[in-house]
Amino acid sequence: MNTGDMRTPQPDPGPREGRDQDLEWLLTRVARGEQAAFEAVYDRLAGPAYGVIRKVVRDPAQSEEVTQEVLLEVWRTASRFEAAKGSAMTWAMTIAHRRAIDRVRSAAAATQREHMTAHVALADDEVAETVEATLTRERVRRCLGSLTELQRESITLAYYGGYTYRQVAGLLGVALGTIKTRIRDGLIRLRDCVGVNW
Amino acid sequence: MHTLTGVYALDALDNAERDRFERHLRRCQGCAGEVRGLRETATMLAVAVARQPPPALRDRVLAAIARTRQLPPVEQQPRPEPRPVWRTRLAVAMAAVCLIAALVLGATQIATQRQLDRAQARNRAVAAVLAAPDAHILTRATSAGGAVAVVVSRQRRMLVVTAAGLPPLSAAKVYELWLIGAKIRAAGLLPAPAAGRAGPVLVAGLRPGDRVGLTVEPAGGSAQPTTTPIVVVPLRA
Repeated sequence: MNTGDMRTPQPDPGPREGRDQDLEWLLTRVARGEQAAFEAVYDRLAGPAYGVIRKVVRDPAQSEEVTQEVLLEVWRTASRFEAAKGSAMTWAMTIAHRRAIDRVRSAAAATQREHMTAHVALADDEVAETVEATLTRERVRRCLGSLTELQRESITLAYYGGYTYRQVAGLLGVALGTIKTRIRDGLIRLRDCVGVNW
Repeated sequence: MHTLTGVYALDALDNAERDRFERHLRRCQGCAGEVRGLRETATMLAVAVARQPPPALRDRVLAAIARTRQLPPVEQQPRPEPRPVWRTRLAVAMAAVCLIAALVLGATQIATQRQLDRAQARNRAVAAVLAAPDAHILTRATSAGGAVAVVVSRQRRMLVVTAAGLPPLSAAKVYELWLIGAKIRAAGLLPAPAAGRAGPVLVAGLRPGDRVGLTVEPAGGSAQPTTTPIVVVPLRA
């Protein structure tokens, strides 16, 4: 067709945005019970979900269990996703991170946590298997590097360590109010550095 | 409270603090916007550590979903401070209400051709307001519960009012609409809510600076309001 030949290439929205929209569209199909759409969603979400859950939970078998719960939750509650409130990836990662935290916090209540000094840096031994993850990982690493040490430490302890900010304050020996504002200031800097459009 | 946006976005509050902050969040538009951005940022922290789970997990999850029932979507309830997406949905809901009103009229109340003509003309007028290029929708919660939605067309000097979730009234009372400008003008009675919904009511003769009010009046309505409005909707200039 002529119009097809004449068409100039669309400006690339960037792989992340393009794929996020794709994920949102897939979720609406999952909400209607389409299992094929869910398989595509699984392939998008399993890596980031398992990655962040492993960071927080650490034990591989338990991490797998939590990841399964999270993906099942995505299937079950796909109709509750609201695009106005945030991206589909964020919706899913919020479920994943909260589940991981529930797991370690309830475990911590029973027994003292084994890894009180969590290794929370972005370790090199972890394999990011998609181009998207590799790019994001490099960008996040660079941006985390631009924060002050206290900002970086408190953010990584809270997010990857799964600690409450009170626990973070205790671990770092810093006042509560200071941790609260350092985390906020650091996240805002990180947001501006990684270029989140929200 | 506001500085908790960061720790909230990282899920670093304990449950009690989280509940308290979420209550705050519902009232604080600025916080909600900031939280959205910071949550997206936290997502980058998750994507940055992505790693593939063992392949067997995929089979287990797919097997599990095949025997797991999904939740139905949440039905939208009117909220005091609607977001744009809610307004869109409400507009859709209102269009549906118009249709239902037309069907109900057609089925139960129309005895003569003249009544039918009148009902159709009214529906056309409502549809014309909803479709006007300058139509916009405003919603407000009422102090009695529920909310009203007003679709205004300045070009046509008309508006359409619907209500959802209004408490039912005794037979001795009615809901009455008012246009509140330099003078207060009666703008018609709201039909008794059925299944929580009332309207659409078409109001003509809108003047610049008017606001829309709703009061509870004795059956038959009043010439001037006799009670304090349960809601007043300012119409954007």
